[in-house]
Amino acid sequence: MSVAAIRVAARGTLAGVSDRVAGVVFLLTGALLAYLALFDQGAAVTLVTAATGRESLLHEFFHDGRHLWNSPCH
Amino acid sequence: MTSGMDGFARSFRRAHPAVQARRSLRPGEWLRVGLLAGLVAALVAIAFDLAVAERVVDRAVAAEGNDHAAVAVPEPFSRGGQRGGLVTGELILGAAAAFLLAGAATFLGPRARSPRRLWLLMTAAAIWGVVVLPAVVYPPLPPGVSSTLGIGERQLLYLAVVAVGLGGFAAAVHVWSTRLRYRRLLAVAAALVPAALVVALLPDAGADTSRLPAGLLTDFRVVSIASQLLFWSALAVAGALLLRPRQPGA
Repeated sequence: MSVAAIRVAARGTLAGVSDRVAGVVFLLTGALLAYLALFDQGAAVTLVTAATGRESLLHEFFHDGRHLWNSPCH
Repeated sequence: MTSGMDGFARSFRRAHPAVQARRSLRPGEWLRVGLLAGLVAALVAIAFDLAVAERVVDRAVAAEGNDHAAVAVPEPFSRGGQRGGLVTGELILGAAAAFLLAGAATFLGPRARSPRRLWLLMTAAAIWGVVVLPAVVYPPLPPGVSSTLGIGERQLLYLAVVAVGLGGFAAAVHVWSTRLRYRRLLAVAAALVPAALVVALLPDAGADTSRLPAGLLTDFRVVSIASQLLFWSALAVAGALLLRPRQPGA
């Protein structure tokens, strides 16, 4: 195998690995966004607004969308 | 083309990930297509929601208000605020669908016949697993309907239905592409048998819809399912247009 061929093969493998990492990051990002819009009942928001005492702010904000999207709302 | 040539091309692709990757799109390219299509899908759904669906939601919220007006819990958002939440929510879900489909396509792309075909299969899987099957097992409920099951339990059941729907669809696509003798029949069974089990085995939503004004439940279910179908159809069509094969030399 020539040096050039090894280089091409190595680049291919690296591209394969970084593509997989990107794929996993995309899946996690999508899952987080879907969780915030469709499922969160206060866990995420209390991290940010623990002081306000509003327990399920996202639930109320996304209320109509959750009903229309058939995600269990309350 | 001879099968010998095919075999050679296939083993060449398997041996060289760089070549294999080029057959599909790069993750960033999938994401760009997904985000553009997701934006189109969200805008189409928002237009329908604001023009049609919100009238039904408003009727349900008004009926809910009459029902327990005595329980005067201050709402953190006005109806206008919740309308803003609906618009924001559709946009976030457009982005969520874009990331999820781009992530899935990154792994499925090299196995698919073409990026466009993969996109249409993924959006069809979503229509089956996210819209149709949940609507059959746990039909959409308007605001103001209480359930005997807790919210956490119902969220898990909903996710289970979605998982079974997507899994069944993926199995069906896989079986369809094999050389099995009754592959078409088996593919349909791969999607329908788990779905039938879910319908038969999962607990009832335990929803009390008796207090809703006449016609509201049906109206709500129609607009809810229509809104979701519009979202996913627009996503499918926009993505397919973006992924249409380029003419050589164009």
